[in-house]
Amino acid sequence: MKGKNLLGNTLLAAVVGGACLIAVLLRTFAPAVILPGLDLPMLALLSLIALTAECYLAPKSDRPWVLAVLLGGATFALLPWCAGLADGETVWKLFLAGAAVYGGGAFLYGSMSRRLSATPAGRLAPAVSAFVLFLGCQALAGLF
Amino acid sequence: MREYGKPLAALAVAAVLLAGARFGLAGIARSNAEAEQTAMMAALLPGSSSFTPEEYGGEDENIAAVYAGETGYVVETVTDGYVGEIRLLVGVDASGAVTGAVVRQMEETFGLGGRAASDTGFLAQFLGTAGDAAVGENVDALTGATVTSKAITKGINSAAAFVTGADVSSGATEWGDWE
Repeated sequence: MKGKNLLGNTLLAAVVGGACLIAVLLRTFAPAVILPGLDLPMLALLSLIALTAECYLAPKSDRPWVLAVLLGGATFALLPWCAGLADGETVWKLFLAGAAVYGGGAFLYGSMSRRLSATPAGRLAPAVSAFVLFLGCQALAGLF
Repeated sequence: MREYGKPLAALAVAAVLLAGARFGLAGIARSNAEAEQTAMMAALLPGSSSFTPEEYGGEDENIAAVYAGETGYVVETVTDGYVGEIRLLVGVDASGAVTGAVVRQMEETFGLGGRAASDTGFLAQFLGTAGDAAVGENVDALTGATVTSKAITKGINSAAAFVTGADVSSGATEWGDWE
């Protein structure tokens, strides 16, 4: 376990919490706004923002994978539920989808950004990796 | 081990803050939503300012709610789009002509079907129709979003058919099925 941490999950809680808070405020003060759904591209977007922030803050960090994936799922289930954006029936789906998206995203994102950062143009690598992965996830979600 | 407590603490703090915001703002959210809905319905149905919910007991599964105004009805419809459900509010005057339509909720693809919510040119095509809107005939579909366009057409035709009394099994509201 030495050298491993859950910084990505802490950042994920901050990112998802911030997004949910924005949704609550929009729902309260601008009810006409059409909020995007909590679908796969949205879960991927929030995960990738947290992973990108983690990559810039602690580029060499590793994570305890099982715990990270479970916490990722719990974050996507608990926070939207507390914000009133998901009901009891949806929470389990969000837990499973969130765990899969965060776990898969962290694995793919880590692999990509490590390779890209080996080049002289490495400073932008985390952001570019996240953007490419998000586009891939959007295309994948469109297939279902 | 202490390191592992941070994400749990962050999660707990975020959960408490969100629950507090949700329940603390619930009253304001409810009154704002009601005021916005009334203003939206008044814009969709010119000449009407107050709306009374009416129970809908018909067979059309696309109709979710009906509100009676002084000059006609505002009908809330729900149809299946490309990604998920599309919820519309449609104003229909007493003669059965559509006076306005607005997308209230959708999850369609950003840049494709999602444009239906803001493309006034697309939605304006339905003004004056009376259950006879048809993509490819008197309605041009949004580029790259035929399914979304048909779903919206279906909802608007259902709303008009409610007022005109058209038989929902006659095809007036079944039009748009692509399966």
